[in-house]
Amino acid sequence: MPYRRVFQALLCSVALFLLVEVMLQIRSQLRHGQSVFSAVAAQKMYQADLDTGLVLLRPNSTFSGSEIVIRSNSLGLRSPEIDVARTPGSLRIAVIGASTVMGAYAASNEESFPALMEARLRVLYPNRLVEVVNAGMVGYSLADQRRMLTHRVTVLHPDLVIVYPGSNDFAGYCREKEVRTEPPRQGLPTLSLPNWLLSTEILLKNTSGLREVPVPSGDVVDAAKLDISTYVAELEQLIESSHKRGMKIVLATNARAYRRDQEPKLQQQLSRTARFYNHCFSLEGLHVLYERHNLAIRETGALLGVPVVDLHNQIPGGTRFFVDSHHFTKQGESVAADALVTFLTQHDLLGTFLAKTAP
Amino acid sequence: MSFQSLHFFLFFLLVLVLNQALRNRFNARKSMLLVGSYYFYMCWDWRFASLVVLVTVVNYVAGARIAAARTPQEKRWWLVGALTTCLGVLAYFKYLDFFVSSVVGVLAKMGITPDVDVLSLALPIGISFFTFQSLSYVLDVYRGVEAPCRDPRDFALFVAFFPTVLAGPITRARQFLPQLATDQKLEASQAEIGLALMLRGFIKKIAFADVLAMHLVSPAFAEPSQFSPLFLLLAAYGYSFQIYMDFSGYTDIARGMAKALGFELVENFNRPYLAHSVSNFWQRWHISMSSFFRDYLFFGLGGSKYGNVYFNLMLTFVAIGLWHDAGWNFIAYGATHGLVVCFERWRRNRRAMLGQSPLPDRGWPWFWRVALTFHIVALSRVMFRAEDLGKAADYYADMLNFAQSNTPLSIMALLTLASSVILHYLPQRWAGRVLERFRLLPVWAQGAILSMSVYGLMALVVGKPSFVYFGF
Repeated sequence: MPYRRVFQALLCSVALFLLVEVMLQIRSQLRHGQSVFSAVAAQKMYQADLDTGLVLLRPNSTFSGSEIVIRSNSLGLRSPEIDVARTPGSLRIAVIGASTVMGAYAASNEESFPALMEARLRVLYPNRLVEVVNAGMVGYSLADQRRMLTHRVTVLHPDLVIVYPGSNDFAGYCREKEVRTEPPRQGLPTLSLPNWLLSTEILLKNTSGLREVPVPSGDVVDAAKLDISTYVAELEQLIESSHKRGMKIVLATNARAYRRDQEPKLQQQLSRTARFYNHCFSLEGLHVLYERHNLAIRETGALLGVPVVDLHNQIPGGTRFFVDSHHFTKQGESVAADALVTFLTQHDLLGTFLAKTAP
Repeated sequence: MSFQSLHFFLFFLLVLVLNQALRNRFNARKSMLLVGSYYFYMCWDWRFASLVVLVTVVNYVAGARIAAARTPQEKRWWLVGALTTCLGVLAYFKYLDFFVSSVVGVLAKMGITPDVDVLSLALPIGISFFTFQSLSYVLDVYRGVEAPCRDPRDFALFVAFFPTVLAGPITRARQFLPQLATDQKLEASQAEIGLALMLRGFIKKIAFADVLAMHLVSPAFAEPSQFSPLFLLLAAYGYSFQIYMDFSGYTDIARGMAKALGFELVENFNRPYLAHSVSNFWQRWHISMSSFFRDYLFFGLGGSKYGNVYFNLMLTFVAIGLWHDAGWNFIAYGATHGLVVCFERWRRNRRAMLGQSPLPDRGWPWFWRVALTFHIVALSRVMFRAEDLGKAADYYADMLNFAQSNTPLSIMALLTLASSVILHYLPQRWAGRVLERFRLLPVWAQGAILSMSVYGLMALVVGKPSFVYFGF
């Protein structure tokens, strides 16, 4: 059989890939309680809600890994069970956002910053029932967050909604660029590597330095000239949706691990995941991108009379507060909770509700 | 279907398995390869598969009619018909917009502004390759050096064969059709060498061509005014090695695929930057294309025997430039090479007339000639790489702007450029030995090398993978 050795070599190669992948999936299962095995066993962490189309956590479940335990409530949120009917005199706040709000690296529900806020507010207002709903979900863009507000949060009648937008919208700029620059071909459908492959994800995340461009080229999107009007429009719609439903809203700027005042090498290291997910931007481009979007958050807030918490300036960068480019460490979650609670109390944003519902 | 994709891997594996399963049924093997080739092409763009069919039918029928023609006139009409159809298709998709915009530009300078829009047509991938490949057949039949193909399936496979349909090598009918006429036995050693060739091609493309593009060439050509003359010069050198690694990498993959399937394709490169003259460069660079233009255009115009040889040379080189793409920069690129080749021929003739010996092929004089040829090629390629002639002129001007000192060379760029140079100048037999060593390794070691290489290459891939010559 002429091809025997060729097939054997290819088979060995594929077997090696599979071996590495299986080992990484086992590691992920042990650490995070999630892997491709969970999907095979129909125990996926996330599922689409049939009514709203929103991707939420599988309701009333516990996802246990050695490092992180995620418990979901009946609404598919990483939050304690919430009674839709409000208890008289209670204070209810909802925090909307993406993985940073959900607490991608928070070891337990209680360590996410919305839960820490709840604990701090309960200390401040011991005579009240304070509930802070964690309505953050991995991968959510601003459009998803608006849908979360209208479909999930509104029915909970919160007194206040805090929005920490996150950076998932930024990846859209790279996708748009790819679509724009792709030749207008109409090929038959093709297969690509499944997105659950951990070997490729880990490889790419840990080798981003190899693909780092020393100077911007034609392949890199110029963040300074980027049209961000869609983002601003989304933000305005989100605010209008909350106003229409009579909910007071507070915006927060996005904090990040890498800062301009750090050593360039440290910036490179801390921005690794940001560059992985937003591969069409250089490090400088990411700085500009964040600054422009944070400015847009501040300006939109000012324009529509919405208070803005400047978390970017209140949470310092670096490895003490960030696990990667955007997600908080335990200390980061704590600082975020402190900053938000301080802002709410100092700006008397809770006073109205507390007075209104005083026993 | 990108070569660097899971889909291609699975497709090729399936073709390999079927090729093996049908090893004793050559006709069924050819049918399978034909279906596979059309599927491969349609994964890029299914709309243009009809063009491949059109070109195949026209040239097959023309070849048969030319062979059966009773008078030279009849033969000529069939040839003209095939040439008009194939070149017409090429002109429509590739050159019409350029022609229209050039005419509109000229008229605008004369104060006339016609209300004409360019069509902005999508360029069918591989059009320059499969049209020329099939035309070579008709031209050879017309000249009587090739017998007409009697099996339409063989001819269809010759035109659409998936390893060559996108970017060559432009395989002549007399090189490929005989392989389809007799049962090609599959040999284990050929399959293994084919696999190793493919691996070498991927390494050339991803670890060298793409890295040079990303770290050196793309930044320099995007904003040349931002960089020092040294950086721009290194980027021009870098582009020469990028395009060599890119295209010879593609050719290795194509030849490796064909070899693994039991077929042989022509060599397309012979260490081109060892050329001691520009004429010699074109005997080493994209050999299948340059020999096509030599045989069918230069000789067709009269070569060095009839007419003015310098005119024939200039026309051939302008056509070579224009073959790559429609643009004044490509015409200028071809014309520059044509002028240098004309000068080289004039000098050679003059030396012969004066009774002087030919220029030596060794020692320092040879070295300087190689270095000079490389510089002519590398610097003229600025026109090839730039978006248009104006941008090329800007690049040249910036190469003389000594006030700019920004030279942001990364270690990665320097290492890759140095390795590319070293690899290019290494004796070819060394590459052969490495391939042979790979073949002799135990299968588990081959598998491990494949896996490690794929992981390594994945770490280097940036953006959507494509080859430079897919754009032609």
